[in-house]
Amino acid sequence: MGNFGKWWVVARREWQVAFQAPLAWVLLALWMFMGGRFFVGSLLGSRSTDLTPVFWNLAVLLIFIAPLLTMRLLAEERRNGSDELILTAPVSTGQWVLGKYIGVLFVWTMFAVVSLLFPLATSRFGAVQWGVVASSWLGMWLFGAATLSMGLFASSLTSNQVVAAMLSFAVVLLFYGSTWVPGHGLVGQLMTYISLPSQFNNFTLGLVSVSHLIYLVSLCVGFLFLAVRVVDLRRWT
Amino acid sequence: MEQQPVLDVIGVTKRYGPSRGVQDVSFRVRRGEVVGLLGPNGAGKTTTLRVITGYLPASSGRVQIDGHDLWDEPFEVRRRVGYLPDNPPLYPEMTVWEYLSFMADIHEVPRARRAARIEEIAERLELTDVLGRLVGRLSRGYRQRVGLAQAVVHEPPLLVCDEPTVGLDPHQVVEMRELIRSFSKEHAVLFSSHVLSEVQLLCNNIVIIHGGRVQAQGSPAELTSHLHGGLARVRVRVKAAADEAAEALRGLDGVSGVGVEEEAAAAGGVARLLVEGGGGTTADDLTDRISVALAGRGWPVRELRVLENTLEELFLELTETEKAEKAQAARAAKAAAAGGKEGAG
Repeated sequence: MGNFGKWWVVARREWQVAFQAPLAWVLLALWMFMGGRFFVGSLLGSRSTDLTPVFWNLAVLLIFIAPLLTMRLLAEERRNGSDELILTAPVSTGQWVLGKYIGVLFVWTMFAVVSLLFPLATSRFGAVQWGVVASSWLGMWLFGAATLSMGLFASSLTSNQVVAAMLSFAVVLLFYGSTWVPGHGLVGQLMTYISLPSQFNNFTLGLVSVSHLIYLVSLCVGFLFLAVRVVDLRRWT
Repeated sequence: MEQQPVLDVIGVTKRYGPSRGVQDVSFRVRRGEVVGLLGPNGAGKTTTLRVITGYLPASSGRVQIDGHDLWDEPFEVRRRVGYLPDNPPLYPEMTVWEYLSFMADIHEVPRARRAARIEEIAERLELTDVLGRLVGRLSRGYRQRVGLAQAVVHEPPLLVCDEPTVGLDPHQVVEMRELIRSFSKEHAVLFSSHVLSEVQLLCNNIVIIHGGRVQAQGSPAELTSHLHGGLARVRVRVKAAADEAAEALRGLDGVSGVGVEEEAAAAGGVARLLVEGGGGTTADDLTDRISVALAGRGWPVRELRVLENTLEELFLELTETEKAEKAQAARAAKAAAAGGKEGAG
């Protein structure tokens, strides 16, 4: 088995374990319930078929969901010492962390796929702008991928799951609310640019630009890289 | 030509914090050997094993397994090691079967062979009945065996176990020792323990570690032969005055010293003496001469016993000297501190 196998093995385990515990199911139920509320509130009330408010609100929910989905990933391994068995096996830290990330990304993708029920339901009663739905959905998915990478990074910093969840909440909030920081000129522009809502906004307008894709993907890669460094560095000190 | 060792630890030092860690640890494990890393708690056993398995990088020194260097080819080394850490950290939410397949995949057991290998190892470790159970629901003894199963699932040349019998009940301890012994037929085994009798029972070679340093190493016989300068010692209980008997024995060929352990008056007219042989005198020769000499004087001999040098003595001696040195160092530091105070005042 080549390198392909290693992260896949780790990812598959994460995915299985996530759905064996109640947490993912509870969050999924909450996700659907809140999604339904947003759906009823924004579509039925206004008799519109514009689904972007639903995806917007669901994306906001991720600020709470991502820390809960990612908190145990690395913190729990460190707490019960099972990282010792993985890191002494022929698996690189990169493969391990990537596997963890892909695993939780699967779980998140399932959440995202389920949310497609809303546009599907709408399409029975009116004309849905599928292009905008597709770009909004992609934007939400990338938004989620970015917040999960932040959560994974936070989980690498501690062996306490609650601390990990709070840390990742703080990091996600930092990237979510960076536009709230008053700033002028370059700083203000930068703060606006790195904020997740301003990135997401373009997707909800039906715009999928390369620069936004690159920004979100490099955000994920950056936090994964940091997580790998943290795991490796801890063994050196 | 000497056979290439499976494990070669060369001058490994691991520093962390001011006092913890290990210094200049060197030893080898050859094919077919069971080597015990013996030392009291906190001696540096776990640190040493963690460096060997690649969990902790060494500050200096090298670790080689089957000729592959841990630093240059970490994966080649990791493929060749099975590791059972102290209190095996398993995934409680998986079944035993799921867990072992996961570890088999991680350790690159070919897909086609995986199921057969797990069944084989489960049978050997008597885990067949619990393959479908959740790891978290297993008793300590079972979990230890699942830990051992994951360590050997990829048939590594070297098996490393950290305190494999700690926390088990006496029955399980015996079982675990038997398993280690049986695995030594296929794997070179290195395990740590603070239980002397266990190491003595299982090992061809013993590495005694204390205070982060190797204090002694060798086979049990080699280790004990150096005790008391390798001199034979015989204990004698004879019905005679202690002084006279000691005097008579001191005059014998090959006797280097006689100590009076108990005066005759104190023990109903029977004196107890300890006779030490000179260099080159065997215990048998010494016994023969003593018995003839005492009989020649007409003194009844109650007991003549050759004292075997035991590992326990060695172990205590090594760890005691360390303690004594530490006490000495502490006294010196205290004296220096007191001196410094005086100087300041």
